[in-house]
Amino acid sequence: MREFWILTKLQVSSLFGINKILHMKNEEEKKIGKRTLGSLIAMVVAMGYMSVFYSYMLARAFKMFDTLPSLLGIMALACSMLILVFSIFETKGVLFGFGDYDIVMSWPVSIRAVASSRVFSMYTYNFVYAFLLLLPAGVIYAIMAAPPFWYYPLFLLLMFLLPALPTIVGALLGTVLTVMTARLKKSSLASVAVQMVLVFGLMFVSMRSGMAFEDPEKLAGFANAINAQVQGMYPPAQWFQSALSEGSLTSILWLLLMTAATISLLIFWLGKNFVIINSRIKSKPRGETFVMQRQMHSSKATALFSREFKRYLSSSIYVVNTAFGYVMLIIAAGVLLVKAEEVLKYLEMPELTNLPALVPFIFGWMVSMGSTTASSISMEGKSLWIIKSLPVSASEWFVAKLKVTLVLAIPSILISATLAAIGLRMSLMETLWMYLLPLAYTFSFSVFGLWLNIRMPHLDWQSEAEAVKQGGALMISVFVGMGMGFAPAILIGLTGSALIAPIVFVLLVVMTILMWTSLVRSGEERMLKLH
Amino acid sequence: MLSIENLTKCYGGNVKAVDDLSLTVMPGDIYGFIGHNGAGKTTTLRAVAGILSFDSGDIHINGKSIAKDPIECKQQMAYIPDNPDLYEHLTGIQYLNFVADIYGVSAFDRDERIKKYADAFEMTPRLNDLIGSCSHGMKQKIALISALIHDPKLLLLDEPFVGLDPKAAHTLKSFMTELCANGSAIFFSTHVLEVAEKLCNKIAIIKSGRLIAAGEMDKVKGDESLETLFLELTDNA
Repeated sequence: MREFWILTKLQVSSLFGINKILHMKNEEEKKIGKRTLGSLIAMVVAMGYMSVFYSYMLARAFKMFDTLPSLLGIMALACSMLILVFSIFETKGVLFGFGDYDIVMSWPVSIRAVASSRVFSMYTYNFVYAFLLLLPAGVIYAIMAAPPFWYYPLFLLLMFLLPALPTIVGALLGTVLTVMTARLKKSSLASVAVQMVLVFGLMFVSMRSGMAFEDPEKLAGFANAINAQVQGMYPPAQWFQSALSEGSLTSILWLLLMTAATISLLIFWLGKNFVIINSRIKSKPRGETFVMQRQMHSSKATALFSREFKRYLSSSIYVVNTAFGYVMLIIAAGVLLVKAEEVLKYLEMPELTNLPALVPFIFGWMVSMGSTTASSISMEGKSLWIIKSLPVSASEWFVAKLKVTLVLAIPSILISATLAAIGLRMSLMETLWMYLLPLAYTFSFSVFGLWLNIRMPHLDWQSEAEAVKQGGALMISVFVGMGMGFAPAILIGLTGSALIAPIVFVLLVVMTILMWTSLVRSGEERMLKLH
Repeated sequence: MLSIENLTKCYGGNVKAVDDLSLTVMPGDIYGFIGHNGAGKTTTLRAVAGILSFDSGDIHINGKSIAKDPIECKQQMAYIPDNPDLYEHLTGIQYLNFVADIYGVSAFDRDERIKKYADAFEMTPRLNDLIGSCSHGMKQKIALISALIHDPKLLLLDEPFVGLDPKAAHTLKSFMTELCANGSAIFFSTHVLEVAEKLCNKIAIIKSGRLIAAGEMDKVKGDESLETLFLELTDNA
């Protein structure tokens, strides 16, 4: 147990780069550290605020139907699904193939202690999300339902317990995925494909459950519908709900037993297979014997772009984290093409009638999520010295990074805008905005990502997950993208004004020009200060 | 070729990692740079390579300031750090082609130089392997080939012999001599004093960021061995 805590302390200290920030001596580094810490706090506050808002709105709706406890079940379900997906992504990098594997394994500590400390660090990271989703729901439920005294300590206990199960199940699924793809020549691409299937599979299951819940004949009433949905998708969320709302001892025991059983299973299994799997990942296959032939040569710009694109494709977590936005975009456009009538019928809220005017902004939000640039500087990691020592200007470096996003985004936008325009039978002007707005979003958010990442780099990571998922720049980019996508959409829904599209377009273009100018002006100096 | 003028670099406000350091490397020089751990060798080399900003002084490569014309300066030189973290997702040959593309090395020169250096370092059959699968020594060899591929006028090396097998170390020494015989210059740090003594025509000793001896090897060390001189100077200075 002592070994576990020592290793866990080491792991947790590197989460979000907090230990580094606390021990920075260089003035410039301190400035970057404070900026990163400030942005992380701001993001936590923003996420907390959004969570309070959603919980409150849901609670009001549930109370109307006299099903307030469903708030706990729904939030537990959302929290668990989010953690499950994150854990699958994090497994390779945190649990396997991590940078300090050799040194950690050379210490006189048990393999189980190493493996469990790394699973615990995944749990700690996931707990931040659990805290932000569950605490507001728990507090709002307490205010509205006025539960007995035992609710409060039990809620705290279960809030800590709930994230453990999806973390472990995610780690198990992630392990299976890692083993399956470890020896493949294109292991990164295979891993991306399987992760995408898993994520979209989960989304499909949740949509199917949503449709079942819409059908009044299948389920007797609203409360039963919600409970059946939660129970059907993820029984532990239902146990969480009934434990807190009814004080069901059986549910508490089920949660405890399932968590303890899966932890034991994972740790036992990892104790036997941890070294085998890591060795398999570390021993990369040898290439075919090289025979010197005439080499192809290309321009500096092509070489930089090619290096950048290969780097992108080499990291499954980087690809899944960004390509998700584009896949979602094309699927959404496909749905609009085939089932536009049903979508319009489904969204019967009066403010959503003007769908052709709203879709460009929703697509804009999706492409903002797909920007690769917000973590592209962090991804240079310890190899940053190469680009800094080569005769490459900051602008050339930035352009290569921008091109990666644009190569992914532009075809996705052109395809999806065409599909959506046909599906929604858009007018000429609507079609024009359907193309122009997502394109403006992608240019704007690619430049914004770079602008943020050069100010908040996270270069000394041990696993790519740290660079991709824990970066302040990425979090800000995602949140601003969400705001910039949904705020105009809501405004159109409320006002129906035709001026919003041109105003947002001009705003995005101006933002892009200003940020690019700032990047070019200060790029060399900032690039030199990175280390 | 390289002129360092009153270079000062501070960390954490007042701690001077390099303090008012001046030094000149001429074409044909193999200039050794020695000092204790943390004396300021790597900081100086990184500043010369244009990858670290400095607080005062200036650095000129062939008359061009690294602070004002970094791209032109970098075009003429190559730098290898003490621990070459290369792009692990690329194969050796992809990395070499990438560096050659950046320096604009012609197809003919590229083929010829890759063959020459990869054969000499016994790396040719392994150039299709991912760099991530290579040992430390192999990565060092790939980094060295990439540094030599564009025929640099100034080669900056930080502990270049660490991780190399004896044969590769011997090969490197012969390439260093060949490069300087053709008019280029090398400025490198090392802890292997015997190598520095045999290979270098000039030597600089740094202690706590300050240069305590610099110049032609014979004049600096006199009749003593470099090791004796180094210990005397670093213990007493």
